[in-house]
Amino acid sequence: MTHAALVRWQADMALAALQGDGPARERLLAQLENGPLPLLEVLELHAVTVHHALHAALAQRVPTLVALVGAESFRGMARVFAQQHPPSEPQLAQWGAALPAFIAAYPDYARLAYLPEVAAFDLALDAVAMAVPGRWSSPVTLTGELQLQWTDSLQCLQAQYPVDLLREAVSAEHAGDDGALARVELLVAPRDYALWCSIDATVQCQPVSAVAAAFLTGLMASAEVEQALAAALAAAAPGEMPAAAPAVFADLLRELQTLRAVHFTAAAPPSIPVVSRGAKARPLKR
Amino acid sequence: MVSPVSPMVPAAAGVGLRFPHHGQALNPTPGVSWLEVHPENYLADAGACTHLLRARERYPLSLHAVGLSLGSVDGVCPRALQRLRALVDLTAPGLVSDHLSFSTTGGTYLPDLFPLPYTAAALQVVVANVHAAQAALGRQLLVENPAVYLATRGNEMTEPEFLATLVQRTGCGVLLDVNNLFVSAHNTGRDAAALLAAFLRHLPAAAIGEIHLAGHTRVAMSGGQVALIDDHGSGVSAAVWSLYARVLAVLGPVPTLIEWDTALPAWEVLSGEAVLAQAQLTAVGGK
Repeated sequence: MTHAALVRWQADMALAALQGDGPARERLLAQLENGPLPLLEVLELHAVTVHHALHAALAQRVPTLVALVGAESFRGMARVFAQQHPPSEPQLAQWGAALPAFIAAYPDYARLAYLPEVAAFDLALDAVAMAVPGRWSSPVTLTGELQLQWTDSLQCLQAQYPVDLLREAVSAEHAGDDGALARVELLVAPRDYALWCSIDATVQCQPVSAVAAAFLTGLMASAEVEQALAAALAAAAPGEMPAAAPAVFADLLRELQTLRAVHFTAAAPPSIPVVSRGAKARPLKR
Repeated sequence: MVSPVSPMVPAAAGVGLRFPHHGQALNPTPGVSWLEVHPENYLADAGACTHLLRARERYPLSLHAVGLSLGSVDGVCPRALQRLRALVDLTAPGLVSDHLSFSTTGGTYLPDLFPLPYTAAALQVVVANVHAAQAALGRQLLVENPAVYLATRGNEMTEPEFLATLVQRTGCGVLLDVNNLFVSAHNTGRDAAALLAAFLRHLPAAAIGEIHLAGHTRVAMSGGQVALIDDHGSGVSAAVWSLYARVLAVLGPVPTLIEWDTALPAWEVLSGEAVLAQAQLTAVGGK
C-alpha cells in the first residue's frame, strides 16, 4: 500500500463511519480481508461507535434541547449535525458551537423558533460549568479609584425567548410536573443574561439589563472603558445624545453592585446607593 | 506539580478513574496503587482538573490519551500536543500513552480508534508521529495495541512485528492491552494464545511498560457469528485473566490497569478487579 493509498484508506474509513452507505464504503470493502465476521456489519459497528459517542457528547451539553424535542428526535438531528459539522478536535466537551445555527435551518424544528436560543443557552452554561471557580480578571479602572473585576467564567448571552425559564421547567426539580413547561410564556422580547460559575462551582444565571450586558461584553472583549460605556449607552437609548451618559453610568454601577459575578476593588462612591433591581442570581443544574 | 507522591507508576494494580469515582478515589483503597485517566476529559474542563490534582496528591498517575491519532497521515495536531504537554506538566504523570490507530483525517476527528494496515507506508507515518509526540511531550510514549474488528488485504507485517519495529525506531514503549489482543484475535480469526506468544517473542520485555485489562461484550451478527466488542463495560473475562497470567509468567510484574468505561460499576466492584490483578502480580514477585 502506497502513502497515497493510505491517505485514501483513512479518508474512506472516516467517511464510511460518518455517512454509512456510499462510495467510500464500497472502496473500503474492496480492500478488506474476508474474516470470520461479515464486513458490512463490522463497518456498521464503527459507524455505531462514532455516532453513539458523538450523540452522547452533544446530549450532555444541551439537556434542555433534548428534553424539549425528545430523545428520539434529538438522536436523529444529532446524526445529521455530526455528518455536517463533525468535530475537529478530541475534546468533545467543546464540540457543538455550530448547533444553534444548524437547528435554525433544520426542517423538523422550523416551527420551534426558540430552539436555537435554547441550544445556545445550554452550550453557554456548559462552557461556564467547565471554568475554574474563583478566578478573577485583572482590575479595570472605571472612575478615580473605583475598579471593577469580573469572574473569569462570566459570559453574557442575549435571547428573544425566556430560555432560563424553559431550562428550569424541564429540569429535574420539575420532574413529574407536567404543567411546568406549559406555564412558561413564550413572549418574544430581548433578554440579557449573565452566566458564571460561582466559588462553590455551581452555575449561576442572572437576568441583566441590555446596558450592563453591553458594558460587560465590551470589557470582556478588552475594550477601553470609554468604548464599553459607549456600547452600553447605545444599548440604553439608541440614537440618544451623549449627555445621557452620566445617568446611564450611574444606573449601570448600581446594577453591577447586585451582580455577584463582578466586584469592586474600591468602595463605590457614597452617591451611588446599592439598590436591588429585582433580578436575582439562580443556581442552574449542569 | 508538587505532590507528596512520586510520579513513578509501580508494578502494581491500578484503575481507570472516571468522574463518578473522583470522591471515593481520594480514600486509600486495597488493590489500587495508581490511577489512569483520559486526558481529553480534562483538557477542556478546568474545573475537573482541580479534582484530578486532588487525586494526584494521593496516587501516581498515568495519562491514557485517545485523541493523538498516532496513525494519522495528517500528522499529530500540534495544538493537541501542546494541550497534552500542559496537562503533563501540571500533573507529572508516570506514564503517558495512546493507541496504534487513527481518529483524525482531513481535519475531522471521530471518536473511534480506526485500525491501520500493517504496511511500510503506515509504519513510516506512525514513526514520524510518535517522534513528534515524544519530542513535544519531552518523554517516552507508550503505544497500545488496539482492538480490531477487521483486517486489510496486503498487510506487509504482523501487528507484533509492526509494534516491535516502531519501538526500535522511536524508542517508544508498548502498552499491552490483553483484552484488546483477545478481542482482535477472535474478530480476525486468529488464536489468542498464539498471537500473545508472537507479541512476547517480538517485543523486548523492557519495552512493555504497562498492561491493560478490561471486559468485552459479545454481539451476534446476522449470520450467527459473534463479534467481541471492546466496550470496557464488564469485569475481565476468564480467558483474558488466563492470558494475563501467561504475560506475567514471562515478563514478571508490570503496572497493570483495570479499565472500565461503560456501565460504570460501584468503586468497590472496580477496585475488586484490581485486587484480583494485584494477586497475580504478587504471585510473580510484585509488591
